[in-house]
Formats: sequence, C-alpha cells, structure tokens
Amino acid sequence: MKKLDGTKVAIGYELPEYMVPAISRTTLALFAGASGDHNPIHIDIDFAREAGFDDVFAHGMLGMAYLAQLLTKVTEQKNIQSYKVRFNSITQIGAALKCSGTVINIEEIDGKKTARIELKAFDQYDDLKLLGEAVVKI
Amino acid sequence: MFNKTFIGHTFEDKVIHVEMGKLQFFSKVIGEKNPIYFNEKEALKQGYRSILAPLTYIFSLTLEQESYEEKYGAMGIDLQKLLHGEQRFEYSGDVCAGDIITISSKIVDIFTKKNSSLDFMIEEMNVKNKQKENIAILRQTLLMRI
Repeated sequence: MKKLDGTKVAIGYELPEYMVPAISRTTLALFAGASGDHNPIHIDIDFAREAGFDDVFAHGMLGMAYLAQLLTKVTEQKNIQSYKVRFNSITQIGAALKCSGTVINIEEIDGKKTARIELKAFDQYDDLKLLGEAVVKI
Repeated sequence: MFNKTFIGHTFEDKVIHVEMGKLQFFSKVIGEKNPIYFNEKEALKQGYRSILAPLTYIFSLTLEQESYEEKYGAMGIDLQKLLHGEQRFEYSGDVCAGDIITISSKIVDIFTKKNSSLDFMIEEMNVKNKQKENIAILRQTLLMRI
C-alpha cells in the first residue's frame, strides 16, 4: 500500500479509494455488540418501524470506522491529529460504501507539517453518506 | 425537543478498563487486518503498550457501563427520535488494551435551527489516561426528529 509521503503530498492529492463490502444485518448485529451501541433502531426492525423507518439502518459509527481505515491504510494511526464526520444521510442495509479522500490543505501546526484531508463515503447509488475531515501529520 | 435546562449538565465521570478481547472483536467486525489491532507481540514490537484501539473505538468506551436509555432517559429523550448527526475526535494520545481511562462528559449546547425538522444537542467528552494526561476530546452532535 502506498504511504502518505510528506515530501510528495500536495493539495489535490487523492488517497487510494477503499471499497467496503455491502453492510448486512449480521454486520449490524455484530457491530452493536462490538461497539456497545445497542440502540434497537439498528438491530430491531419492529422498533425501527415503530419509529417511522422502513427498516433498520447502519450505525453512523460503523461508517465512521470504515472511513477511518482509508487513513490507517496510508499512515500510522498516531499521525492522525483529528478526525470528524457528518452523517449526511442514513446508511441502509446493503449499502456498499466507497470511501475517498482528497488533500485540501497543507498546514504547519505546532511546527509539524500536516495535511488536511476531506473524506467522503458514497453508497453504490452515489448517495453521500458521510462527509468528513482529518488532519494528519505527514 | 431536547430540554434546554440540560445545557451545562455534567455526567458522572466513568472509569473504564480497556479490555483486549473487546478491542479484538471490534477490530474484527470493522474489517481491520493490521496485526497491531490483534496481536500483542506485534503491537509491542511497534512500540505500543499492548494491542491498539482503532481511532473510533474511544466512542465505544464512552458507551460502557450504561445504555442510552440509562444515560439519556432521565433527560426525557426518546430513542426512536434520536439520530447521530456529527462526531469529532481530537487526539493527543492513544488507547491500548490494559489502559484505565477516565471519561468526563458534558452537554455544551442545545439549539433549534430555523426551518429545520431537527433539534440539536452537542455533548463534549474528555478522555484522560491513568496519569491524567489528555488522550482525546470527543464532540458529538445528537439530533432529535421533531
């Protein structure tokens, strides 16, 4: 895997895309247990329907965990200074997320060279699910 | 609607023991492959105290010891109307298996936007290690459908 190289990375640099396998009900059940987020809206279709949704939907934090791997595939985790995500729309069962990242600025923060990276995750219908940003030491 | 009288509300600090098995399970479920998240020997070799917690696992640590109902029920929040709008992490350290961390949590703002069908609540959490060093600051936006 190509690593983020501070001498080469410039504004406009695109990180290698990361395609996540489609999200299944099993994944949501496992993620509920593994993440400690037991909100029934993600695992209990009766509860989700009562709440006015057609079906259960993915935890926002599952998408955020996937999108983070776009970064940890190209840099060590300790280089990541900040990471934020807006959950733009609900991620449905069956969504196969396509994660991408683009360097939007190179900044010096506390004497350290960092890249500000815009992050996006779209589903297979090109619907934006997560929109985020990270600041990474390079 | 969120109850605005909870602006400034602080929750009781939580002390959490970071467990290796839980870390490994989380990393497996999210599809991680890097051995620093699974194999202690490899993590030690790379300079960590034990296997490493993935970036977003700190959020899961904040959910330990109580359910959403227990945490937010007293604030009159209906889980069927609740959505996660935004999540931020600022890191100044890392979390590894075996760490003991303390989480302080506070509701910093509650507001409504004009012409929006959503109500907003911002909660900030500070995560410190046993040596009282800052590890991370989390800021989450919860949305209530109104």
